[in-house]
Amino acid sequence: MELFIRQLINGLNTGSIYALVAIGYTMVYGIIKLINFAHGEIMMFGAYFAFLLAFTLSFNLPFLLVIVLSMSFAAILGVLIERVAYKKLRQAPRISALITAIGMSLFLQHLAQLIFGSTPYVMKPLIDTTPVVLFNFAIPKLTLLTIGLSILFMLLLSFFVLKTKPGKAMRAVSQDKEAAILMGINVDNVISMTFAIGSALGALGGIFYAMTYSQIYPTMGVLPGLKAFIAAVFGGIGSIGGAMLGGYLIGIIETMTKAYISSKWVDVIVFGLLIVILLFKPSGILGKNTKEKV
Amino acid sequence: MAVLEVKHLSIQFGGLRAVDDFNLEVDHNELVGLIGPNGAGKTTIFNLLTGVYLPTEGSIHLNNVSTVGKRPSDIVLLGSSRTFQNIRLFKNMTVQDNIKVAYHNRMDYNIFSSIFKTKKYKIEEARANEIARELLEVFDLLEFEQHLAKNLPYGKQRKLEIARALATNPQILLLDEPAAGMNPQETEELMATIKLIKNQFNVSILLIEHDMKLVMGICERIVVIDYGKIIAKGQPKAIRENKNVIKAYLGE
Amino acid sequence: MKLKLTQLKNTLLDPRFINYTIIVTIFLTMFLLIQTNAVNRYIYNLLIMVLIMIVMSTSLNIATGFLGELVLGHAGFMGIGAYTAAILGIALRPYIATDLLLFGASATGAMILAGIAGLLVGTPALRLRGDYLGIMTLGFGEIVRNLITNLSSITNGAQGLSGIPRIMTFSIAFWTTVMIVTIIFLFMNSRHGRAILSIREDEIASESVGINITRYKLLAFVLASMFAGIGGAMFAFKDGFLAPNSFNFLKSVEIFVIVVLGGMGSLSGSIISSIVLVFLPEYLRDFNQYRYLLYSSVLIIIMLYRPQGLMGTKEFDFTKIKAKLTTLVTTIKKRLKKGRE
Repeated sequence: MELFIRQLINGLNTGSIYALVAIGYTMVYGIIKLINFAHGEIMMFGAYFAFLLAFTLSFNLPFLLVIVLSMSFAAILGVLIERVAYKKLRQAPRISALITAIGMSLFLQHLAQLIFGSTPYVMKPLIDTTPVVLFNFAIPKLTLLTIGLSILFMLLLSFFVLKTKPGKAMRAVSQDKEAAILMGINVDNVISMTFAIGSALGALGGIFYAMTYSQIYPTMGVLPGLKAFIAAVFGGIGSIGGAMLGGYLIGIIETMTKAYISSKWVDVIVFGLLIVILLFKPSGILGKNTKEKV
Repeated sequence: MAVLEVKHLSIQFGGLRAVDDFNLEVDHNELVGLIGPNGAGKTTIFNLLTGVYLPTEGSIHLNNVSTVGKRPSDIVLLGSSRTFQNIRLFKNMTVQDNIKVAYHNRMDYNIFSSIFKTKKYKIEEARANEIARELLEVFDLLEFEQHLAKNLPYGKQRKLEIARALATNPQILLLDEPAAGMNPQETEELMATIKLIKNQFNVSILLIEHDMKLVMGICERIVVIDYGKIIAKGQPKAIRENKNVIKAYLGE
Repeated sequence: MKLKLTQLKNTLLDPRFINYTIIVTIFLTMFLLIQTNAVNRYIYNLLIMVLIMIVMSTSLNIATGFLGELVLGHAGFMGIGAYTAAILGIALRPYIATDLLLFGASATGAMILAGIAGLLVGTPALRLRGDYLGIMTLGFGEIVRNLITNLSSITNGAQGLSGIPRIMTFSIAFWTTVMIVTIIFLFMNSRHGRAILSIREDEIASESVGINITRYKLLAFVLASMFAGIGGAMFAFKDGFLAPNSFNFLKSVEIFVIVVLGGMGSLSGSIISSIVLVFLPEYLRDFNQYRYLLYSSVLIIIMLYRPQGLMGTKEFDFTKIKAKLTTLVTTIKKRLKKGRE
């Protein structure tokens, strides 16, 4: 039982990261129907930004500022990617946009390799790691912070999307782009905003991921990126709540597999799960079914 | 004998009954028009007839064979073929290949014949080319045989779509708003083409159309629906004077 | 006598005859260069790699270019083929002395197993559309790689499988490639190929003229995976060593880039871009660290400015060169004439 609860906490930790990254996939998909393959790389760049800000400057930045600045840089990167590579392809066949996204993902990976080299950097946790005792369980502060901050940011996002005017514009664009234009919504801005928010949250996920596994390297975004994408599909792509739910589920399934089966089969099980979801409920847990009109 | 026999056809989308107790018989070599205001359920009926939608209730028989639950491609083999409201051609294929795709099921050679270029392959391909040429000739499209379908002007694309539907050798042809987007002169030409098809290919035609001139001009029988229900049926003249029809189109 | 001469002339000018002649000439030239040691071991290996990539890209072209479905796990089928062929090759070596026969037997096994995998993945996957299918094949590719790594009793796991007979000669690779490309070409020019093209163009219309789209999607997908299996077999016998990471997502993307660059739906496009993309990075050795940066930039730039690729859906035809040259010569003559006047 103790092992189970410990694993559950680990699962929530990993799950928080997947959920943060999955939100970016799902928001972008909701707005422009594109699987942004480069999202895993934004996550990676977010981690590098944090590393650079925390360890290469001659003065010490407070932890929260490191996070906020890295998130802002990642947001700028995300918007830049959209403007440079995706914007022109909005009317193009979806396969073209998707290929571009794959290209962008590879490009960013190898750009990072060129800038930072392929040897991993060691990412020390940016906060002290003494465990906190909670209900007789010693839980690392980092885990608590990961879970806590992720939930905080997700609540902020939900508030933003549901209660504010730009949030409403965002939902309008995802429902019907043409109608939104007619209502006087600046679709370009909404799309940029979506990329900015998604990238910022992705970067946050990347920073936590780097701190949890204490490593940063150019291809670190690939696997968690794919898994976060699976989480988004699991929850129902296009649905923000679904992405969060899917993220936590995948995180828990993954840690449980590691604990009770074997860590070598984690990827097979998670990818297998993806295939099963796609086959039996491609719309995911919270998504809606759509059929092409004749 | 009826080529197409539809009884008590209904479909429910959530709370909406898009088609409600629709009955229709189309006889051999008959030309029937299906009209009704926008959103009356005409295209839905076509989608039911061609197997795109599964009816909630009712039966559809093509030459006495039930088509309910069959895939669209199998229903084609039973002898019905259609065109679409918004033209759906194989845009990046040649005009000839558009026809030959539709002729697919009438060709008889397997993959190995094509890989080894057997005699059977050559004969069948030559026959397909010949049939395509004949069809294109009828529709005045022969000179465009090797052009890509997307490069044809609008009116010709419509014609090619009808020719393609005919290449499957149907007994009944379902035309979904063939005159949509055409100018009066093109519509005139289309009327002549439809009459020609009916006589030369000996098929029945069921036609959805908004252009009253075309419908009244060529249909032998007209069925009018509104809100998924039949509100009138009969000869063009009777339909023109029918109170329900006038009410449906003009409002109270 | 005169009749015979015209017959001869007709045969000589027959497009198919011209194409065959050119293929044989290419082969003989390469063969002579190899025999006279004008081609070193390094380039020899690259040539075989080009041929393998031609098989991989033309086969992927069936599913992605002609059928129009996004497949991001082609390396998975290649991996299945490679390991099957390697294991068969090691097991059969004592019984089959001839290299060609050994390759034939192993490649057939590879083709069948990869085809079965294609059938198993394709049957459910092809119900999905577009990007979902892409993701699913990506997932499949990763599962294959993980399985190869984890099932170490059969595959020797992450350490890699060695001791595979190195029987892949240029001749075997060349004629295998010619055979596969020819089969794909002929297949695409049949009623089956047209049905597949029509699905790419418009699924709903295709179904409305009686094409069983499920069957033809599956056919295209299975054919693509079968030929990928053969590509894998060629790869297995090239170096005599296999490791699971040769068949990762990057490999799938590499094959995909070749298809996109050459033009989705053009076999000759795939051939040309296989040659370019295998040789170019090798000749820019110092450039090697930029290799994938180049690949990815090329991919993005093509999508933005020439989404149809180098060749579009057109095929390069030797027989048309003559016609093109004639027009070129006449225009030049006209220009000259004009200049003189």
